[in-house]
Amino acid sequence: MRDPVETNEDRYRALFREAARPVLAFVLRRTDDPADAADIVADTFLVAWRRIDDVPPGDEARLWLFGTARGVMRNHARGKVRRTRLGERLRAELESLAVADPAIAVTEVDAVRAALARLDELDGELLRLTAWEGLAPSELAVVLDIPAGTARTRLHRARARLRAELGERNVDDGHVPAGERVLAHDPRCQ
Amino acid sequence: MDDARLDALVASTAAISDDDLAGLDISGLESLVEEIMSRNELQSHPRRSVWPFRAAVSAAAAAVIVVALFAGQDLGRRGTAWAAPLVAMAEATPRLVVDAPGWEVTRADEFGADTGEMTFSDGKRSLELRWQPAGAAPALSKDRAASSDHFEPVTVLGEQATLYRYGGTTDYTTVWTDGDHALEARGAFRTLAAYKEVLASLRRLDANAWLDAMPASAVRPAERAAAVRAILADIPQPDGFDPSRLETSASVRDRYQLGAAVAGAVACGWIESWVRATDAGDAAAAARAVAAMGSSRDWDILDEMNPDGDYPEVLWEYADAMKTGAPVPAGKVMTVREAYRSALGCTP
Repeated sequence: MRDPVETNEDRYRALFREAARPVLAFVLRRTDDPADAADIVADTFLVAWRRIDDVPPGDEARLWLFGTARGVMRNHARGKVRRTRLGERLRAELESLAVADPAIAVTEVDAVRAALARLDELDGELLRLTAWEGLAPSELAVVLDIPAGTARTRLHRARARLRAELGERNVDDGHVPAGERVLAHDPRCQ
Repeated sequence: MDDARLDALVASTAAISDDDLAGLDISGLESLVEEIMSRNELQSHPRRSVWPFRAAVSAAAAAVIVVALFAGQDLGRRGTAWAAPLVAMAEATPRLVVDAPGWEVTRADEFGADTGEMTFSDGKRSLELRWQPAGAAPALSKDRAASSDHFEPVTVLGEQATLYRYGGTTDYTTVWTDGDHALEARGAFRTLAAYKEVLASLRRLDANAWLDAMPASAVRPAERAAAVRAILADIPQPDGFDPSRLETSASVRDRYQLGAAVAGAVACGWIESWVRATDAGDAAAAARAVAAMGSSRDWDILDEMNPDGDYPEVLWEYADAMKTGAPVPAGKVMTVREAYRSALGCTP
């Protein structure tokens, strides 16, 4: 019989090996300040270590980490995460990392970015998760903690709204029932 | 435009791709896993804190006033005479409170002259106040502006401030500078007007009145010896255990922090005696230590602390491991004797 402590350790190392870079990329794409990204990645993996028993197996672990990172980012935006010594080295490295400056953008990209910014937060995130992380609707549902059917429907609407924002006016009415505003609280986030 | 074209357009807005990142040598990322796992010790994770790390047994306790608090009391009614160093530190903080009927301080974590965080609540709503060095203000404002869908100028205690609403929420926050500090007051309110009303009720107190406003669970220096003795009442103590060092301190601590200090000191003593007895082949003395630690599930202070943090659970983990000989999770598989000092905050 394997030692359960060692099993958790091995599992965590494997999780980190597989998911650390995708999670770092996920966070870097969603934060302006690379130093903040270091804090958020560190906190996300700290949550994963403390809650290793809750981390789902297989590829769903990555989705769980994305969802957790979203919660950490939300806390960060609300000033609930402070700089710690954890991840100092990563922070120093990221601060010198040349991430594309959103201010320096070709016109089309700039227009798309602006159009995305005008969308509802959930709509924008559905589109970003699809395009940036390459997630399928069923995976969007895991990250965003919403029903898979809702994810599909909302993705369809989000695309329609983005087209509308980009000047293609073939969109449905754009009304979102209040009950679908599901992102106000993510129970996975401490 | 079809979905694939649209997705490609969205993809083009990403600041960095997975492939870009995969090609980078980021040793800080590789070392993070060890940093995290080596922090799997009590000090790192009291659940109560909204911050990821707050030392449960902090060596910096003398440098900061630790008053992480559970419950409140009415402002300014205690009338305690505070020790001069404490007053001096309070003088250097913003010393703001919500001065409105029913509002009280419910939490104040590790505050000092430069940084601090407090929560005020009237039982239904709460306002979080943070302060940092004034130099942090531009980054703070930029960050809040990026997250907001509404902002407006307001005045807080005579200072020009900016009020933000987090996008798609009724969470409001206001950022301003006041002398040496950047301040932020954040809360979730039904309406902007309700938030503004509470914001307008912020008032600055003098140092003594502000310290008086701290909740009842804060253990004052003058009350400390009695509190330590009460905590020790149901805890078996190893031979030669001297509680006097625990009883004297000029800093304010909350019950959780004090409980960790006291229970931890006893546990450290027992584990040390267990290590010595085991090395000396003294089975009876080792068994006494195991039994004493085994009684820790009945220590009242740990029950009191348990909803608020992980210290009791870690201590119990060590008690169990002493009994069974099992390893403990401490970043790698370690024995009790290898890991207990770091995990429980034992000092040599």
